[in-house]
Amino acid sequence: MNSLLEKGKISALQMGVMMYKTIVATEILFVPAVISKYAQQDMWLSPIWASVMGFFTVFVTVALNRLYPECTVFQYSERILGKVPGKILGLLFLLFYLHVSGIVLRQYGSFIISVFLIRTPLFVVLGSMVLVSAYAVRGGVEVMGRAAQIFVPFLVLLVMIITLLLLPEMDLNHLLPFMEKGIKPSLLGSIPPQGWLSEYFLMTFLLPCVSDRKNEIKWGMVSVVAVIVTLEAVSLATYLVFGKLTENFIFPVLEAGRYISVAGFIEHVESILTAIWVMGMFVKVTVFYYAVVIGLSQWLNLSDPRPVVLPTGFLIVVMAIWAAPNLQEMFDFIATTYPFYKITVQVLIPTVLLLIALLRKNLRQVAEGKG
Amino acid sequence: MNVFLPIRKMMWLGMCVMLLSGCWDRVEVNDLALVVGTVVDKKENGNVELAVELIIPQAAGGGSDMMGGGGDGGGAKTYVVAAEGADVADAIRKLQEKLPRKIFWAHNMSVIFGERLLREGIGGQLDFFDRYYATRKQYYVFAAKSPASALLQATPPVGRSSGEVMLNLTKTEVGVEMTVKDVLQMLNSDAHAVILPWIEQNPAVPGEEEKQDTSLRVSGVAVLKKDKIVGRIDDTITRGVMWVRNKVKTAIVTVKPKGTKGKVSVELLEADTKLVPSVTGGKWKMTVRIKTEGNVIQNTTDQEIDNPNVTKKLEKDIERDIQRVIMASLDQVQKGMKADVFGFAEAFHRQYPDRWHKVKDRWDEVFPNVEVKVAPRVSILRPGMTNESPVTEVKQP
Repeated sequence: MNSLLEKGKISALQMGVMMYKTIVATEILFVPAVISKYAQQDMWLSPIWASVMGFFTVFVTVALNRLYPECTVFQYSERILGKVPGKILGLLFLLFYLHVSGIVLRQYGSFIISVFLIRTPLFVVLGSMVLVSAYAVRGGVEVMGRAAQIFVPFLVLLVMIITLLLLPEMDLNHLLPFMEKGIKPSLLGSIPPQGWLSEYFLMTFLLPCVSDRKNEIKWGMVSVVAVIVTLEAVSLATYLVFGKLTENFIFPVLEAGRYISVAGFIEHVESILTAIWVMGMFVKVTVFYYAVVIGLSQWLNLSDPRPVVLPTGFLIVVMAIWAAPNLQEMFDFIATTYPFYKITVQVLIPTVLLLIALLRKNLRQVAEGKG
Repeated sequence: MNVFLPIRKMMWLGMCVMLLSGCWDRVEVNDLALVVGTVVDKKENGNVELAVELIIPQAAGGGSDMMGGGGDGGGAKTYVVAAEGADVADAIRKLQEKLPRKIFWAHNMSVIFGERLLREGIGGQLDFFDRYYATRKQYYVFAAKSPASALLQATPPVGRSSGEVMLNLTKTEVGVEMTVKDVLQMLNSDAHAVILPWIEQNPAVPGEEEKQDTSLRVSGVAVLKKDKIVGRIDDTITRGVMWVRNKVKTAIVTVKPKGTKGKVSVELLEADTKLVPSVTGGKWKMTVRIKTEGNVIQNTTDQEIDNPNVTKKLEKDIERDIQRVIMASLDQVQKGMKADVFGFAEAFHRQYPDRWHKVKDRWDEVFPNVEVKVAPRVSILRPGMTNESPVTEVKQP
């Protein structure tokens, strides 16, 4: 039952890198606008508050993994809750990840279509991404991990380009007055990034493949810190350039990229930035896709996940098209329901699972001690 | 089984070939009309007029008629097309009907709003440049007299297109630089006041009126409250506004020291302005602290510039001059137009958020009564490349 479907091995560093790209890819696209809507000039505080959620999620995920080292959530939920409730919870996770994969893919599609490929059908943009990702998912976790590792310097470059080249346009005055309406706006603004950070629960699918177990918590935490630093750098750069305008923009970071103009010839760089960003998006889609594929095959007790890769991809594309009728609703969803949806499934339920598991373990030990 | 293997490989290859054709909304450069300058104005009949200055990319290699033109130094031809419509977007559609190539916005440099539109409010038309996916917030924005499209027709002697010339005029750091982003930011700010550099054609040389001078120049700014024009100020007054807004990068100040006949000019190379607000009792006060430093670049007096006492006096004179310029602009803009283009509202908001929220709604009444103190500090760091002026030598014998 706890047989591993995945034969590949990744290092804890590769896992951290994969998770970093998974979180950052869509976060830098949508979160700066949302947090500045809630927190205005205190928006730089929000990612810091949100980091608590990231650390907590990593902790819960690793703790569950320590109890059941070879299992993903689909397997240990059966062990913790029993066969039938476990399967029901597994179905919930399966549908959740299928849905969220669809949303993630749609976020990518919406961005590409509303800015660059205006007249290309959504289906083509989504389909091409899923095809490439399917190839990586079929290759297994090792392929994905190495791809992420190769791409990560580029993403760092992206963040550096945005922050450094915009330095001449920045105005620190945009951050004043500090905490004008108290701490509440920045706390409210931390909810959307918290939703994003709860995606660290995806580690549950990668942890069984990690070869150097003792480093997993370290690299998980480092990865969270890297995400916070990236989000902080990008959203602060955007806000220092645009000030109160940030909340009006749909894609503030793109606007910031477009605003880059150094020495009259480093300009119009947004195509390069987007190309780099698509690499990150590829890793994100791949990790979510992988979660769905592994989840599906474990839930159905398949011996080999590869036959379900392409059909799952098709389902994800369909989910993406269903995810929202238009960008306005998508944006509204991201700013309101989406964080709570993600936090509930990816943090609340695992925490309850962990508590039950610990309780059962203690009870068993007590029973054994008596026996 | 092995029989099918090549077929499967062929299928994969075939699929790759399909992808190789690239994206299907690609546009080749020879299908594009590159916009380099844009004019948005209001017609007398109420329609919005849109005029664009276009550069038509020529196919590389060229035909036989290109052979002789190699010596032109790549003087790209621009031409101007105009159309009218209910709004900018509508006008673009009409414009496209007249053009066999696709209008391409990414390389636009300047947007000029005509005076008639400024009177009705630019907000609605500015929205297009904010919202449309192909436009950028980096466009430079200007104001001009209606009909503004005449400015694009001018073929400037220096520079390839009017759009580029306007852009470069603002970049000389003498005048105000306003991008679409800056305009949006000022409109969104607490003060809701905007300044736009005013662009016009150089007046014709007397006696040569028929030989219309085609060069352009920036002449002061148009002051907008909300998005409507409330007046224009000239270059000197604009300098005052720029001093307060901390937009002065370089300046040449010429003063006449007391007790001498000539004048001394100083080039200020560094300038930093801080707005220090204070609210005591019901009194709203603003101190404008300016720190600036520079070199002497011309001396037509008989004074020895490297004498520290002379320098000190000179510094005081320049401080007074800066003070005078700022006071004049405050007089005209703060008291006269009651438009807060100085950024006072933001400064008060930052320092006194609570008090600010109480007067936010009646800022228009509070602002003209804000008491302003100008405190410049000039340091002349270098006397220039020489000490005594030739004037001195003439006088001494």
